[in-house]
Amino acid sequence: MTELDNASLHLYSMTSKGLNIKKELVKIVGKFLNLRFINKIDKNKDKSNPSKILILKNINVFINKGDRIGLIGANGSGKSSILKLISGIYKPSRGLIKGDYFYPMIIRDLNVSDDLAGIDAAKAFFYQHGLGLLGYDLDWFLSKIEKTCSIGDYFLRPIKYYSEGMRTRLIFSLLTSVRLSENLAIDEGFGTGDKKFALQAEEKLKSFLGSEGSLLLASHSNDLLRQFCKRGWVMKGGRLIFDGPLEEAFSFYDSDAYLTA
Amino acid sequence: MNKSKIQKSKFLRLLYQLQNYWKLGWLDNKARYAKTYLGEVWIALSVILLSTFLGIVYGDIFGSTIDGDIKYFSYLALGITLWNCIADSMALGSRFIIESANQILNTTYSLKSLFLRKFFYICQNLFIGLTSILLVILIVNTELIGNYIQLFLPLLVFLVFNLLIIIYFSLIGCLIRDFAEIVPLVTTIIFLGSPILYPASRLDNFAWIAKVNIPYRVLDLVRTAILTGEVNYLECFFILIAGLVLLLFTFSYLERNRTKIALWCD
Repeated sequence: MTELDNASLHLYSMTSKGLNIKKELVKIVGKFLNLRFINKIDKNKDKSNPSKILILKNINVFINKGDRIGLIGANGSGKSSILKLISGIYKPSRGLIKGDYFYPMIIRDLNVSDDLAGIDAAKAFFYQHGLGLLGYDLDWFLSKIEKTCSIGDYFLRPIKYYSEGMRTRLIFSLLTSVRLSENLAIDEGFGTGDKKFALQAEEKLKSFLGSEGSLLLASHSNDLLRQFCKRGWVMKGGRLIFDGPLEEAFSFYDSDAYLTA
Repeated sequence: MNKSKIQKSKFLRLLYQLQNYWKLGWLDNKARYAKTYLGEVWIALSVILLSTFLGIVYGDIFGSTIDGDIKYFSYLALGITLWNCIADSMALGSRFIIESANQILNTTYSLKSLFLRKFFYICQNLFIGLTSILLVILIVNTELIGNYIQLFLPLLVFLVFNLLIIIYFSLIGCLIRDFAEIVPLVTTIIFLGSPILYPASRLDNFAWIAKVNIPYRVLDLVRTAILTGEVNYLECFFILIAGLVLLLFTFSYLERNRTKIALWCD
């Protein structure tokens, strides 16, 4: 169970906050030479470009065990930020998160240089997550990844020669190789693979989640959300404006109520 | 060792995790030399070639020996190898958080793990470079072999100092984006202002520069230990304890403020 209790999130824009040597120097020299216009420009700039940006506003939700939630919303509505908040990457600036964090399946990076092979990326994943300490064996892990990602000999070739689909297969295999948490937060799904992979991924994800696992999936694809989710959240401008059954969430998103919310 | 034993002991778990970060650092080194014929041999070869070339040129100016029997080559080669490590820590550190933003913003990897991976990457370069230089020094200054045993404590101080540089430079580099631009300049000034290429005795009236130059003083702890066998154990212990305390405090701060730092990256 996870609860967001009136959670808000602010991000800080470093350049507009003034932690920039050039800007500070101009300010100091301006003050020294009594150049009032510099300070005026600076003040105007700060007004139009505030350093503290509100990303999520007063989110109140409760996620039960086994909930499969689809996140719906336009770009910049706060979908990715809420995933990061619920994964513990961000902490709320105001309010609280109670209960279990979600495991973020957000990154599209293999944690090694593209000059290295897929097998090196698998080793990096194993070392980074300290899977040896959880009782897993490296050789077993590598052969499992090689089998599940199904990219053949490419597993031993540099990642830079991989197609986008192959890269997706490898990332997906790594992220679903070991159950690091029962709860998953996924951004945009894994849409770049072929049809066969999409089916495999669906099966894999379903078995990975089991009956107890919760899922938070952000996507612009209604089909993908329908495959996995029963509940829908509609986000707008950092606010959660609808929480209910998925089909009702789709209807709300397409209705006038969304525009006026 | 039995895996369950490792799982039970906190200390062994820490060692196991450090070993993992070491392996991650090695993957980064492997990637760096992925397309070369000689691979990691370049780490050793580059310091030997640089020291030999500079040794020939500057040896002509400063003489083939310094302070008695010590060959100028040994003095220079050690200085260059150790300085390269400090310069790498400063340069890589100043951009580290910015360049790791993708991982900080999209994963829950601890900052400690990211820093240690980079630190071990730099350590591996140092160990390979230093080992090869120490082997060459055995040929030109055979009598120094007895001093090698004195290396352990000063080297430990040197490593802790480099880890602190990586962490603090990366935090400053993240907060002040201009910092990474100024680091190469500062590194060059410190290098030229330190008795690395030239003997400290040449500084004359400017000897105080070497005294206030902290990176140089840490570097000199290691170099002096090898060249003269002299180690100021009290000073080394004091710096090491202070460094470790600062390191523990810093790691604790980083873990508590990971999300804040993630926001700095955005």
